Amino acid sequence: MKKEYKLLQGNEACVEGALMAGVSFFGGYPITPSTEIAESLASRLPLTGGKFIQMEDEIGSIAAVLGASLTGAKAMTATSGPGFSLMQELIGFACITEIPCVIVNVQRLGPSTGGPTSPAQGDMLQARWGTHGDHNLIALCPTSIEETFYHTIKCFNLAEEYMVPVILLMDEVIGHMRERIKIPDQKELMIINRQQPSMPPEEYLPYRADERGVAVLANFGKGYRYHVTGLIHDETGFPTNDPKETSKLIRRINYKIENAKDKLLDFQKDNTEDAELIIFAYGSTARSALRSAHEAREQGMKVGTFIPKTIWPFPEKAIFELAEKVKTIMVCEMNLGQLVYEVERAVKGKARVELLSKASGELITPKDIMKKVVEVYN
Amino acid sequence: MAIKEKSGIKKYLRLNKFPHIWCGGCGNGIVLRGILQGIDDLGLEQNKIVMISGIGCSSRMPGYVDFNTLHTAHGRAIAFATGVKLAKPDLHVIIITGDGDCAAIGGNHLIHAARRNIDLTVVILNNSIYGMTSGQYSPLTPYGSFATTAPYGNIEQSFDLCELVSSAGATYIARSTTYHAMQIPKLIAAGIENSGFSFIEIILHCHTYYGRKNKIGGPVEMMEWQKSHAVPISKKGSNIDMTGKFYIGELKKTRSPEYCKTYDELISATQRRKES
Amino acid sequence: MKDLPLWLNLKSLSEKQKKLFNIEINYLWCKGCGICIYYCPKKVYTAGELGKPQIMNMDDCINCRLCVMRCPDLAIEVYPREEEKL
Repeated sequence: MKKEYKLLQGNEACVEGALMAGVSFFGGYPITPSTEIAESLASRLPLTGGKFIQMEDEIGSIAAVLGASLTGAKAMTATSGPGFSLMQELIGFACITEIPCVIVNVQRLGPSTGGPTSPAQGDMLQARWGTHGDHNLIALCPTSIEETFYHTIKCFNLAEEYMVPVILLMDEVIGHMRERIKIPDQKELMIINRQQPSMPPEEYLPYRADERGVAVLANFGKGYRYHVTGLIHDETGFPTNDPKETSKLIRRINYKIENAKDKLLDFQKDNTEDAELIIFAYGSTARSALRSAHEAREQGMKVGTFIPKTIWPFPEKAIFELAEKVKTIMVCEMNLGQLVYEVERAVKGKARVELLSKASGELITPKDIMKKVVEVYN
Repeated sequence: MAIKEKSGIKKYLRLNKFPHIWCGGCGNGIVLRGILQGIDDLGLEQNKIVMISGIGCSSRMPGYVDFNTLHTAHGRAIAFATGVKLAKPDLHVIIITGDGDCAAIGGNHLIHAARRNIDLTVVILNNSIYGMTSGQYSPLTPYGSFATTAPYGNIEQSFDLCELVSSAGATYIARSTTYHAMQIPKLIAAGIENSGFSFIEIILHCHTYYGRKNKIGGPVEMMEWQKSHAVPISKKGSNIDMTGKFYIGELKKTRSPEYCKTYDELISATQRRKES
Repeated sequence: MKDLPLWLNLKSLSEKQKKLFNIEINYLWCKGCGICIYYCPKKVYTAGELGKPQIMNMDDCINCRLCVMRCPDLAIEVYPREEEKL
C-alpha cells in the first residue's frame, strides 16, 4: 500500500481531502486567508476532469456551487469572514432545498474587513445562525493539518449523507500552518455518495424524505423532472401555504440533523477522568490548550481538555456529563465569547464556567491559558 | 403540423398547476407560451432542459413547466445557472428573470455571465416595475414614470440592458414585446441554438401596477403602446425618430469562444500534458 | 365542391375550398382579460360572462394564431377541423 507523506499547510490539506472525497466543482472568490484553496483547485481540478470557476463574488460562488451540486457534482467553495457573510442567504437556500455542499471558512479577524491575515474564531455563531429562519446544518472544526484533511472528507460525506450544507470552520493559523501528514490510499477511506431515487420518475417525489428525514434529490438531467424552490414546499417540491405542510418541512429539515446528533458528534477528551478543571478549546486554540493542560498536570493541577471537533450540532450532553464531575469549565476562544454561551447552556449550572477570550488578531498561547488556569483553578 | 400543435406545448406544462398565479391579462403567460413554442420548434428533450429563475412575478414560471426546474433566490438565477451549465454542459439552461431580478440585484451576475460567453439563454421579462412586491420602480422604469416608491415620478434614469450585455460580451441579443408574440418563439429558438450567452429581452405589460400607476390602461392599451413604440431593427438607419422608442428583433449575432467548451479543451490539454 | 356541406357552399368566401378550424377555450384557465377579443382580425369572439370570450363565428377563423400566442392564460387552442377526426 502506497503511503505518501507530505508537508502541507492547512489550506492545501483541505484541497487534498476534497480531491480524495471526489470534489468535482469549485466556485469561489479570492479572499485572504483562504485563497490558496482556490488557487490549488484551479490547477488540480482540470486534471481530474473537474471544474473550477472564479465567480464575480461570494454570492455568485455559492450559487454556482449549489447549481453544480444539483447536477450531482460534489461541490465546494472556500472563503473567509466577509465572504461568508455574503453567502448567508444562500446557505439558508441550501438548507431548505436540501442541496449538499461544502463551505470552507478560514476565519480571520472581524468584523468587516477587520484583520485579513490575523486569526480569529469569530464566525462560530454566524456559522450556525447566520442565515434567517429556523434551519440546521453541520459545522466541523479541525485542530491540525491532518485533521483538516480528514475533516474535509468528512464534510463531503456528511453533506451527501444528510443533504445539507456542511461548513468547515478553520482559522487562519490552521489554514497557513504547515505540518507533515500522511496521505492515505483512497481505498482506505470511506467515501459517501448521495442517494438516488430507485423508483420510476412518475412515482418520484423529491421531498418525500427517507426514514431519517432526508430528501432524495435526483441529479438534474437524469429523467426525474422536479421542482426546486426556496419557498416552503411540500413533498412534491412545489410551493404550499398549508400550515401543516409548512410546519412539517421546517421541523424535518431541522430534526434530520438533531436526530442524527449521536452519530455526528465528534470530540476529544484528554485527562478528564479525575479533572477538576476542564479546558474547552477548539481549532488552533486546542493545540495551546493541550500543551497547557499537560503543564498544569506537571504542576499538580488536575486539568483536562475537551476539544469539540463537531461544533454544530453542539455536544451539550457530553459537556453536561463533564460538568457534573468537575468544578470548572474554562472556555478558550479567539473571540469575545461565543461558544461559551453554548457551554453555559449545556452545563446547566452544574459547574463554574470561565472564559479566556482574545480578540487581538493573535493566537491564544499556552502561556495565556496557563495564566488563566492558575487564576481560576481554585 | 396542426395536430402536433394541438398538443404541441401542452406536454411541457405541469397541467395540475394551472390556472397560473399571474393576474388576468399579465404578459408573463404570453412569454411562457412563446418560450415553449420555441423549445417545441427545436424539438429539445425535456430531460435535458433546465429552467432557472430568481424571484419575482416572472420567476414563478419554472413551476409551470415540466423540465428540471429551479426557483432560486432574488437575483441569483444566472449564478446558479452558471454552476449547472459548467457542471453538466449537455443540459440546455434557460433563465427566466425580471427587470428587478436581472438588472438590479442580479446585475453583476448578468455582466459576468455575458463576459464569459457561457452557453446560457437568459429571457428577461421587462415590465418596468416590481410586480411581486406591488409596484416599486426598477432600474428599467422610465424616467418620470410613477411607482409606489416614485410617488412624484421616477427621478432615476433607466438604461438599455441589451446594450449592457452587448458590451459585456453576449453573442446573441434580441428584443421583442408581448404584442409581437408571434416573433418570440423564433428568438427563443435562436437564443437556445446559439453556443454562447444569449439574451432575449421581452418588453411586457404589467397593467396591474405599471399600467394603473401611470394611467395607461389595461393589457390591450399597453400592448398598443408596445406596437407604437417598437421599431424593427431592419429599419435602423432610416429616418425614424427613436425618441422613447426601441428596436425589436435580432439585435446582435456574433461568435466568440464559449466558456464550457473552452474549459473542456483546457481539461483535455492539462490531461495530455499530465500523461506526457 | 359537391362533397362540401351545403351551408359551407353558401358561405364560401372564395372559389377555393375554405379551411375550417376548431377553437377550444379552456374556461378554467381563462381569466377574461379580453386580449383575444380585441385582436381577433375576424371578430370571432365576443365578450361573454365575466368578460370571457364567447365563440361567435368559429367558421370565420383563419388560424392566424394571434389569440393562441397572445393568450396570457394559455387557454386557447386552434386546430384544423378536418384533422380533428383523424
